[in-house]
Amino acid sequence: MEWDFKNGVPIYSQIIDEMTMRIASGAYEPGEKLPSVRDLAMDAGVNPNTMQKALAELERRGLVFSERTSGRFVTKEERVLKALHEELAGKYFEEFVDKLRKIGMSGTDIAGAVKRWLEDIK
Amino acid sequence: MARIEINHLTKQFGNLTALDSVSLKLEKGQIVGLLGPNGSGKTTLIKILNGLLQPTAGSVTINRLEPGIETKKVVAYLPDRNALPDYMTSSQLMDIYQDFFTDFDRQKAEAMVDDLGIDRKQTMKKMSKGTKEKLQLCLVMARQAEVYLLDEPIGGVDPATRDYILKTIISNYNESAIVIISTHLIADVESVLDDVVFLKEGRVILHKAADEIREEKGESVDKLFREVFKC
Amino acid sequence: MLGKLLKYEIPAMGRKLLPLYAAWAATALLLGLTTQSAESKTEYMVVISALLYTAIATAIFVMTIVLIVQRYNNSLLGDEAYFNHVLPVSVSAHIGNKAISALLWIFVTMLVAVLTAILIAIGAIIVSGAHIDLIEMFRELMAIDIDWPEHFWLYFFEILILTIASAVKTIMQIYAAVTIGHQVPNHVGLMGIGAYILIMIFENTVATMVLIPLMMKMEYAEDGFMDLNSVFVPGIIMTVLFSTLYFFICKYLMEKRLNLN
Repeated sequence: MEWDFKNGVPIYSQIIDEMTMRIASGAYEPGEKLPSVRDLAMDAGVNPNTMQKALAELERRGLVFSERTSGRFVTKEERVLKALHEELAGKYFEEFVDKLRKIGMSGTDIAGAVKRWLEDIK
Repeated sequence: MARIEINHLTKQFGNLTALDSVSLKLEKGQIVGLLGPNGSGKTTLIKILNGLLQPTAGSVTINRLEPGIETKKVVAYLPDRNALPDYMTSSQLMDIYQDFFTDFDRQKAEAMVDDLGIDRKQTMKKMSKGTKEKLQLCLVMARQAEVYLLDEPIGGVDPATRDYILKTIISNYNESAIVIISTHLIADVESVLDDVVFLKEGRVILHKAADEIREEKGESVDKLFREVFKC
Repeated sequence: MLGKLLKYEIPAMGRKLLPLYAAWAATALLLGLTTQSAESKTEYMVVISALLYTAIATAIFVMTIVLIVQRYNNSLLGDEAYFNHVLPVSVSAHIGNKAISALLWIFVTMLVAVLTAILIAIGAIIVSGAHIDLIEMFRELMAIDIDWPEHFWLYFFEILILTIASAVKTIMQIYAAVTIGHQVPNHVGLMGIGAYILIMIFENTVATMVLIPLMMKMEYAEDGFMDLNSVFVPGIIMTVLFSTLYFFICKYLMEKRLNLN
């Protein structure tokens, strides 16, 4: 898996975002064991302390839990994952609607356009 | 348990002041970037930490000891030039390291050398510059030291090797060690750094966590560096 | 630690010298074998062999000195110093290591010189066709009853010690000169030679001032032989003192005034 860091944003936050995305998209499956901090850091090309901090934050958010001897695992709890999806979806919708509003589309326009786009894709 | 304390360290060469009352405290478990243009005093500071140079004023302690035989046992140094005897092979150099450094992990060194495709029986004289640098790095990183002083570890090597070197530094990470990377190639290295020290004309003008810089300034450390050291 | 350093230092010097020793031995044998030609029209062969032998002997002599300087200079004051000085080893051990190795190889060179002389003799003997029983010759030599003068062995040992001490002192002079030379980074060679000359002058002055009065005293003794002691012993002591002085010059400069480029 590729890591792509932007300038100007703390690496710590970027790691959190990326890991969250991977969990939400199922790249890391529910209950899956995560690689060690060191391996993740090596893979991402980042400082292990930074990676550790990010993982600690993910733990705090409940997306990840650790078992003292076995390592870190993605949460299996459905409601957590569901909440995550809703949160991400909400964020994307907000951005999406915001942009379209900026170019002058109304709520109804947006809803109609979305329907047509989705039918086309099928 | 590594700890480096630099107290009002000054070094003068005749009229030239290479280091001007530098004070720094570095704790274990950190990868620190010592950043500055050529002539900023980075190499002088590293030489003093190594015991290769004596301070004019001020002091330097590693684990509360002044640089000497005891600190040399736990400090691993990667110089910015080829310092190893030309006529030796990788194998022989590993023999030397094994003989003098109790923290040298022979198997790890051999694994790294093989990984990089270096022929163990080839003499250094016949190696390309890049290969020599890789070899020196392997020897240094195969030590389980308390302080690593890496002077320009990625200058002069191709991007793939650069990646390998950075990955090695990360994988070698040890919570009780300090790694100091002195370089002017910041963009490649900044994601690996905990803290960053900017050295300008022998003075410390910044000592901060890399992520803090990104947070506060909204730009990469590299960009900040270019602004601060604009010609 | 010193032992470990020597383990690497001694072969490092040997690498360059051993092939030369082999060549020297070969030319010695050649010289011996061509001695017969002196009697005939092919006398040019002996001349060439002699020239070859002398050439290699000179080369080895020069090479030994060059190596002594180089090994010290490159390892402790050149690029390799960035490696050697971060080894957990004292400066004294480093200097001692170089000096002991240098002394050893000087000794070996002298030994090889004797061996080449023997080879010349052997070569000559083989070619002359004479059936000389070397062992019998040796026995006869040993059986000769020499009237050794009193204190002969004492003087022999004193001379031996003086020779070794002088060799050490010469090595230390070189090291001190080189180290002083590096104090002036842009003119290392010049400064080094200058330092060497100054050291020579200094030493000869002091030595003369100390030894002349001693030699004067010698004239007033009864037994002529007895008094060589009064020159040898102070000679040895002075040589050792000078060596120590040069050693500490090196040590001080290397510990406190090391400024690698």
